[in-house]
Amino acid sequence: MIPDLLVVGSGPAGAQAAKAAIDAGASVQMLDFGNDDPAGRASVPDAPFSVVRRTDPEQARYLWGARDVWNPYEGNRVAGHLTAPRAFALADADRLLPVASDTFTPVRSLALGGLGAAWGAGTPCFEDHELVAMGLPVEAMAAAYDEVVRDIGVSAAWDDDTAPYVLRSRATQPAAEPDTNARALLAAYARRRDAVRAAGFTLGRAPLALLTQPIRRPGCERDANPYFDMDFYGDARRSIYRPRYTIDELRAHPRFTYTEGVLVHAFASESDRAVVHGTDRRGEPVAFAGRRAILATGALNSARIALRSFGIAGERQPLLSNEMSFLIALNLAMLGRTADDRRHSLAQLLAIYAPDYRGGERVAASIYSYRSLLNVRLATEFPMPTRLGVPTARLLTNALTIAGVHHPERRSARKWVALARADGDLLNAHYELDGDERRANARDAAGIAAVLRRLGCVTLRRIATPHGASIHYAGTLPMRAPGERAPLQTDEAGRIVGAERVHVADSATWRALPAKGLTLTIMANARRVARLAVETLRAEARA
Amino acid sequence: MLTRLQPGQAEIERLARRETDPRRAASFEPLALGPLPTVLALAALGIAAALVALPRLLVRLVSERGAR
Repeated sequence: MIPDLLVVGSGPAGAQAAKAAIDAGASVQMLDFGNDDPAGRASVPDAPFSVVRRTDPEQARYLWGARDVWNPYEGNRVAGHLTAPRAFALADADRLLPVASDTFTPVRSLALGGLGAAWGAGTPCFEDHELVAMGLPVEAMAAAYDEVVRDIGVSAAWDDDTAPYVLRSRATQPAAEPDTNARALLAAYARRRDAVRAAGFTLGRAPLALLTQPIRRPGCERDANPYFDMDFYGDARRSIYRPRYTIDELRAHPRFTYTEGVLVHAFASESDRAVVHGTDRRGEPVAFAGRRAILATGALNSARIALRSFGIAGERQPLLSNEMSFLIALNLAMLGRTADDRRHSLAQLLAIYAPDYRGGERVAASIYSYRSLLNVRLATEFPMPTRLGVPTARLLTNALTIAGVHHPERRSARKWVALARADGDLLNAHYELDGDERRANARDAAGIAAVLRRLGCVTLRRIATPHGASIHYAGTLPMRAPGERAPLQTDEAGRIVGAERVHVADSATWRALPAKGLTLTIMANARRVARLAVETLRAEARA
Repeated sequence: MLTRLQPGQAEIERLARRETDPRRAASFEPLALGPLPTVLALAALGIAAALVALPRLLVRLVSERGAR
């Protein structure tokens, strides 16, 4: 007896697709490579950062690690917030999910929970016009957003100016408490609100998949965030959503099977089933059959698997990725002031910037304060010896304000992926901006920096990141539309054209990529696609 | 020039080990001296950094001129 659905991948898309399918009465087998680090997680104490720092002689193991992933001197700022206990999220990926490119530095994962294992938990929704541009049905997505928000727990502030741009579901929990620096910025924004709004800038508390109230249901025990500022290292209370919590919940269900250690390379869509081909951890071939299959391996990997399944090499599929830059600023209102110990480490605020020249597109900036990534990371950034850098960092920490700016994306022939060889996994990628895009991105950053100055900040630096650093990828198997010429396309149900029994539940099918964080929309769309797959199975059974 | 003042990986590792020693935690924590003392302290650190950089800058200028 084969399962109704094979779900490939356990990230945000896979976990939510599986959950929706189980809820709809289907049987699901999830295929996953499933790297994990439970020992690393368990080594992190459930205690405030300030207490850990003064008491735990073992803290170097998780606060720094044997080999820190983040090395600014190699010029690679991708995944800069990946601390030692979360480094497993990238293990094996370069070797087993190879990408060759001089212009694009993508982050990939073979972890249980995929890139969701290290996700920053930002949960903005997309607006109607953004969903339409992406090719997603507005009503179905609204319902799916609501389901995801209830399922994972999202805290948000409906009375902030940003709400119309980023919130849809009223099933949210109360917003997380802003820290001292964020409160000072919000106060400055309130004083200059009319002027900065006229420039297209709004500021509010960031919607986050961070619980401010516990969730209790069978198979799911999660507590509210304790504001320990340890969120980049551990989360013993499960207060920040990770896809593995959904997998844990599903494992107790009799119609769900989790099969780990599988690296999927290709599929075959047969008359009555989908067959998925892969290798196990020893490299031995394995195959699985289901009535239908759902690819939820991320936009790059789903394209890789689809291209290999059709034996298409050298032909280009489109690639979408938000450009990202960091603005490093000092909030002068916080210079020399004390900051509350009680805080979370995630984005405190979210700015939405909609300048006239973007024609309705939004620029999104997540605003962070700084402390728990250690003084050393900061002190060694200054152009001075460390004996001077350490006290400088100590003086600046409470005022440090970091805006991670995501820029709108435009599809172009200079952004693509292609399989290098029909029988291999190597993906070639190319990503190049034209002059207009570069100028618009620089203008976005300058505009946000100007508003930050009006809010009392001094901007120290703008740091450009490599293409791909945003970890926002989409559009590699685009939904068909008039004029769409990609060799492989999908339909509105996520089905790959030419492979009737294989659906794509991740962002590969999107025709556009707004600048706001995409993970909540990935999860909502995955639920929608899974439900459509189950409905199709039911229709087949009736026929 | 400025790059040469920044530490290498070994120095970063050494600093990280010091910072994550709980006995030294207090000497890495944020300082809140009040706005004016903070500005003065930052100015002093900036001057000190410039003084550290100056001899190297002079040596470099002299050696570049000599090479011509």
